[in-house]
Amino acid sequence: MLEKADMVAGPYCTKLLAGLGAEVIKIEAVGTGDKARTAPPFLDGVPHPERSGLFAYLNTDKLSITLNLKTETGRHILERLIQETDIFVAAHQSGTMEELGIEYRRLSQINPRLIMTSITPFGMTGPYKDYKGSDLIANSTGGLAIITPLNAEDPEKPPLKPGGHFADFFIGVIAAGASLAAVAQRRLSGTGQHIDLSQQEAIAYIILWPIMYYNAERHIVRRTDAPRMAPRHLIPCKDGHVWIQIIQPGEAEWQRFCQWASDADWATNELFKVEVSRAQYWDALKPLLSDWAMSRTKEDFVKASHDYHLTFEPLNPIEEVVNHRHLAARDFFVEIEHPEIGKVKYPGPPYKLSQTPWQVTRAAPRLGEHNEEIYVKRLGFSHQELVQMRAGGVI
Amino acid sequence: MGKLALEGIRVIELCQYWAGPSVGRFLVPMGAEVIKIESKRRPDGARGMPPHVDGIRGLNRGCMFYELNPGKLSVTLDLGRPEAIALVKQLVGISDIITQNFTPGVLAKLGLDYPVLRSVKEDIIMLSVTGFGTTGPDKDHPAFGDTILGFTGIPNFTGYPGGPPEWIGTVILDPLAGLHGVVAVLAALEHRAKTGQGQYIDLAMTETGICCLPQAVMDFTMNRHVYPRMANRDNLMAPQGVYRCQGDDKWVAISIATDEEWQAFCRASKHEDWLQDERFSDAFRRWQNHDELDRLIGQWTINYTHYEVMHLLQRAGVAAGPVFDFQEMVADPHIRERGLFVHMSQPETGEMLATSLPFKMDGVAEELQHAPEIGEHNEYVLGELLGLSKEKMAELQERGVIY
Repeated sequence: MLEKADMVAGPYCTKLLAGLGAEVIKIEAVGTGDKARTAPPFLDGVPHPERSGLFAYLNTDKLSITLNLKTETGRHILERLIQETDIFVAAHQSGTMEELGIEYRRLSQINPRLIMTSITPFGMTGPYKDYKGSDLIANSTGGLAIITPLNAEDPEKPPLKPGGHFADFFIGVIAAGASLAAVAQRRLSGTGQHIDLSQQEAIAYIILWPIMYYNAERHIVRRTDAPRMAPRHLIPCKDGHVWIQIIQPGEAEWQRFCQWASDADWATNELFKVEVSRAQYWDALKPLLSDWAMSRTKEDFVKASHDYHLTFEPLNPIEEVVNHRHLAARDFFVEIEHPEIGKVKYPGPPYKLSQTPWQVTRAAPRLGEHNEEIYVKRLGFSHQELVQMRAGGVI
Repeated sequence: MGKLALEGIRVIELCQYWAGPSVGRFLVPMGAEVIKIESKRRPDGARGMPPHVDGIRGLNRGCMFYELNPGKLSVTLDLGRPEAIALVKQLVGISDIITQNFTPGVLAKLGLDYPVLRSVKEDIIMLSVTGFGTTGPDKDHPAFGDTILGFTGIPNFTGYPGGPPEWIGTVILDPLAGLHGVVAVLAALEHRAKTGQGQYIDLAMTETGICCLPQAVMDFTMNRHVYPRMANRDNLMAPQGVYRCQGDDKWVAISIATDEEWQAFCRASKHEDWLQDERFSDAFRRWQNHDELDRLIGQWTINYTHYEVMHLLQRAGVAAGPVFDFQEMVADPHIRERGLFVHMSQPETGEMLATSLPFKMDGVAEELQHAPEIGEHNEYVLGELLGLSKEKMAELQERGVIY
């Protein structure tokens, strides 16, 4: 695989396939590299291109070369690489690749079996095809921000995106799935193809609730809607927060909760016995439930969840996520030794395959670490030429 | 029109609700034949989830079910009956992939776990999608996408400055897990094509969530530092935010990545004076003065519609987009031209909207077929594929095996 992509979306796509054994050559901008190298968190908080935890995570098992695609030689080298590439993942603001002459139509003449996976904010057709985007804009135009946060209490506060880069991760994993489907398709047709992914569409595809309520009753879901199910809420407790949700619409699950909370007045209140009525009187129930929860710990909820067959879950602080005994028992986090960052835990495999286990064999590359490997050993340039390409700003 | 990418691939779906069915949802338009096994005793839970069309409950009216199951086939077998288990095994014998999202242990009790199915068909690919995976001390903990979101820590990083952690407006772990499942099964198909080997895949929804939260994880493992909650702001782009526009609950998102974009923004919004303002002269200062900048930008955007702001800024080379509600999405010219939402005709409730795959490629069907009524394909699956006679099927139905 060949990757020309910054930050999260494209690199997550190729990371997934690298973890399954694909060789990924990452093309980085000369001098600066992938923009994720400038993104926090950094080791000890000190910005440095080889110390970004985000970059280190997203680029495990990849080879890094630097290449300036604005030079004639750079484009020529790209064509050489394309000849030996199965999948070329390019994530970019629309139009920028065409400006460099990097178009599927031209590249497919060099290698008809090439699969090109393009990730853009709005896709490569339609009136917004040249519009720029971001994780926030995908969440906004894809319909997730207007419904977040759930149970928003203050309509004056703006719609929110989920923290982190979820829109980027979603389009990344979708791009990996589409790329593999194209490999299957190529087995049938013998030729590669171009995949045109839209980050906006990725969010629209995954959110479901708005289209469900539109189909059912032409209701337009908003973050300030009154709850239809209650409790289905994050409630503060003595030492943090706990998610309290009654899943089953019947009365049995609520009654089991009330057995645990038998000392509380609300537990015996007829008004709250039925789901519809709990939702209707949620404003009355919420403070009662919250007061009651404040005298219980997260551990109390975990235990009760087990004893009374409920599904309450505490909100884990990040240190508890990283040190969780269940994840430890599954060997989920993997320790990786990186020349600058040292040996730290990374999130591990997203799935465990019995025959072809996901694995990390190489830490994220330093900028241009594999220039010699690729340019000299693979493509046959001499060391003298390597020096000149560097002097000429090609690599 | 060429062949569909997964033509000839048959999938048995022993899944309900959202995460597991997300896998088949992706594979159907690629040409895979996905057979859902459910029963009237234990229908896919998504059939029973509200909302139902016109508020009327019914197994064929659940809107979550519509979205996740277009084009799948439904066969009803009561898995409490040994004959039903034997029929499932026969189906596995003519299939390529099994997806399942029962709590760990359930399939073993039914006699349908991987070792058994592998003995039925050696190269079968089996994907298990569960909340916590099929090993580890918490594996039997009941899990729904919402209830386990807190386990991953994700809501800690969602919320307003100074406020509590906030919940995301949809369930993200189900689709996230399902889409990772798609990658895993397609990779396993590729491996099978090369080697003839099948395999077992253990996917935990919680783990896919943590895979997509690396900043927080790495900040803690590298630095013992707790990553901050940042609302709509970004580490690198400033300003970035959601700003109020003309109308009721109308907002626009703006992301400014470079000095050039900042200058373009000031010119396009006719705020050349901001270009001279020392507080905003570079990204660092814009970050330092982000609150003030948000206030000023909000005072400007409120005079325009979100569409006006998007077009004005995008034509100047600045990233901006409306915070769409669903009605606006359905009507939006770009979304319409891309054909994101498509109509499918449900036998009981008529025309429904569904979301097509979020990309364009060859080898994907252009139309979505309806989500199946419960047991709609009993005749095709049991009669045509397994060759049961009409009499035999009537008998099995009579005895509640087909149910």
